[in-house]
This record gives sequence, C-alpha cells and structure tokens, in this order.
Amino acid sequence: MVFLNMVGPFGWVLDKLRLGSAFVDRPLVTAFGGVRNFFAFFVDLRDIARQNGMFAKQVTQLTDEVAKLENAGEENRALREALGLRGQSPHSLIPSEVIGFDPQTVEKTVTLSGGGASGAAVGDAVIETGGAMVGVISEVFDQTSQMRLITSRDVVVNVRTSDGLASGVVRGEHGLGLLFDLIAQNETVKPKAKVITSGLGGQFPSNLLIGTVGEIRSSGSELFQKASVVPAANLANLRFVFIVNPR
Amino acid sequence: MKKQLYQLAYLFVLFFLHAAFLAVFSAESYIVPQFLFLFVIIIALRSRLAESLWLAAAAGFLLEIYSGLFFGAHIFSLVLIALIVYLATRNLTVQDISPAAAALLVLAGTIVYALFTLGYQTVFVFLGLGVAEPISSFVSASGVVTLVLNYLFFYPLRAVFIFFPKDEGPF
Repeated sequence: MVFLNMVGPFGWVLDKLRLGSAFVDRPLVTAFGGVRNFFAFFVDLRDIARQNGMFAKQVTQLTDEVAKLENAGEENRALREALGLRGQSPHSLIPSEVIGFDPQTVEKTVTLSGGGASGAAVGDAVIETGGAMVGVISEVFDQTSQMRLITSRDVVVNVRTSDGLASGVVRGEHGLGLLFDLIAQNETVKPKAKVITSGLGGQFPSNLLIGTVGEIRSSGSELFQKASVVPAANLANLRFVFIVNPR
Repeated sequence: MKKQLYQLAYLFVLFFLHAAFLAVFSAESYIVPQFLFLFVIIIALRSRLAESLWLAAAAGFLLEIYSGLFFGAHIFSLVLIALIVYLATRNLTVQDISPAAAALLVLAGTIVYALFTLGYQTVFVFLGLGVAEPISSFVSASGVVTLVLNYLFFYPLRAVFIFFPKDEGPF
C-alpha cells in the first residue's frame, strides 16, 4: 500500500474516501457543533458584556477607517484608469471548505475540499474569508488538497510591513505562532504594524495580510532583527477558505 | 461472518464519530478520545490473531484518510499494537480485564502508539519521503488528557461488544 501510495493510484482512493467520509460526517459535525456552541454560549456569557463595549469602540474606529479606505479606493481607481492599468487582481480564488484535520498534527495539516480539478496546485497560498493568508497547499489530489498552516515551521513567506519600513520573512514556530525574521538592522519595525506578503520570489501574490507585529525580540548586537507576529486569522476555527490561483 | 460484519460496522461508526469530534473540536483535539485505537485494543483482547490484525489494519487505513503523516504510519502502528496486545494478554485474560490492567494497557498503548507513528515518520523523513514533525506533535503534556479520556471510554466502548454475536471455538 505504501508503494501504491508513492506511485500514485492510492491518492485517488484517499481523495474519494475523504469526500465520502466528509459527506457522511456532515450531519454529525453539524449536531456536535450545535452542542458545542450551546455550551460555549454559557461559558462565554461573562465575556460578552466586556466584548460588547470593546466592539462598539472598534465599530466606530472601523467605520472611520472604512470611510478613509473608500476614499482611497476611489482615488486609486481613478489613478489606475488614468494610467491604463488593470484595477483587479490577476489571481482567481478557488472557494474551499475545510473538511478534515489531521488527528496527529492538528495545528498544521488541514484537508480542503478544493483539489486539482478546481485548479489548486502545490505551493498555492490559502486565504480565509477575511482575506488573511492562513496556509500553503502542500499536497493536491483531484477533488481535495492538504494545506499546511502558516504557523507550520516549513512554511516560509517573504513579507514586508504595510508601511514599507521593514521587510524579511515570516516562518512558523512549530505550530505555535509566527516569527518575522531576517529584518535588516537599518530597517524600522514597529509593534502593531501590519505584515503583508511582499510578492518577492513570485511564489505568493503580494499584499496578502499575514498579521500584526507583536513583540520585537532582537537586540542591536544581532545581525538581523526579529519580531513575533500575531496571525490576522483565527487558525483554530477555519471553515471556509480560498485557494489563491496565481495562474 | 455475522460477528465480523458487526465489528466492521462498529469500526465505521467509531471512525465517523472520531472524524466529527475532531472537526468540531479542532482547536482542542486532545479532548477527543482515540476511538479507533481503543477499538483495536478491545478487538485484540477478544478476537483471534488474524481477525485482530485485519481489523487493526482497517482502523489504521481509516485514520490515514485525514492523516498528514507519511502513508502507512497509522496502519503500521495499530497492527503492531494489536499484535503486542494479543500476545501480552492471551494467557492473562480469563473472563474480564481488571481496571488496573485496562489502565496499564491504555496508558502503555497510547504512548507506544505515539512512539510508533513518530518512529515510522522519522524513517521516511530520513529516506527523504516525508516531512519532519516536531516530537511535540506526537507526545505532549496535553496528551495526558487524551490518555485519561482513552481510559474513561475504554469500558463503555468495550461494553458495546456484549450485543455482538459470540465467537465460536478457542481463540
């Protein structure tokens, strides 16, 4: 079976079994999810009032930000038209549902419903519905694919801060968080700065949000600066995602 | 034959339960008992060797469906565990297994299962065919919760077998 899996035909079998078991499991997942949400509601009740105040403040801030962004977007569109550039991203998005988690490595490997037939390919970036990058396709079957979460240590992404003051790479820390590394000492990295993909190397599209800079960890005596990054997406509760098809 | 069909059906039910629990509790996967691993131990306690090994391989194959490890890690580990449990308990088990013996089986089995999958993955990583996983993916402090839950679920899962047809002849 190991040999068959290595030469190929077994991938097709696993692919169909994943789809089949996800289909059969759907009512169970819905039922268990309902039970979980019911109990989670009572557990979270005490936090709701506190969060409500916080959200009200955020709504005000975000409304202000949206107004500014709409203004900037309109200005951008007009400038692009003037320059004759395309206003839209050249990448197509493949909608996918999270249909399984690896029982052994749940922080890092996730099975998605979109596969090679939809255009997914190994190395494609995966974003969640809010637009933040959450992982990279590591294995593709016909109807399904497997994604390594961005916090996995073998995922390395070229990034820069949105203010353009620092650039480097973001890599996972064994499924626990993200590290912004290889920042030159003459660059300025500020806490809470937004970290986005730089598009350098061509593997991932530019301007995908990764997260925000947390704690800056390095001293001036080191060759490069380092900082922790708080992921923008909640990686523990992914349900629907998009595979970014750069082709 | 009827008994085998019951066992196979039970295996599938446990697999779907396991997959559904993992999908719902993805952030706290350690609170999900290893249903298929417990099934393999129970089968190895009550069935003939060949039957135990076949069902262990089937359980391992089902776990491979969502596994990110190199293909065969779960099949290999569960078949070995079935074999070890069968050989270790065949002359000890009379009619019922004591709570202490069950605890020992589940405790040792859970740890050995993790170590076998780690060993299997490591071999294929050395061969350049798999991706290295940190040891914490296999053995971690939160695994203690899984271990306790495995023990708590051992008896209820085993009790279901009283509804199955009885085996004929000596094991």
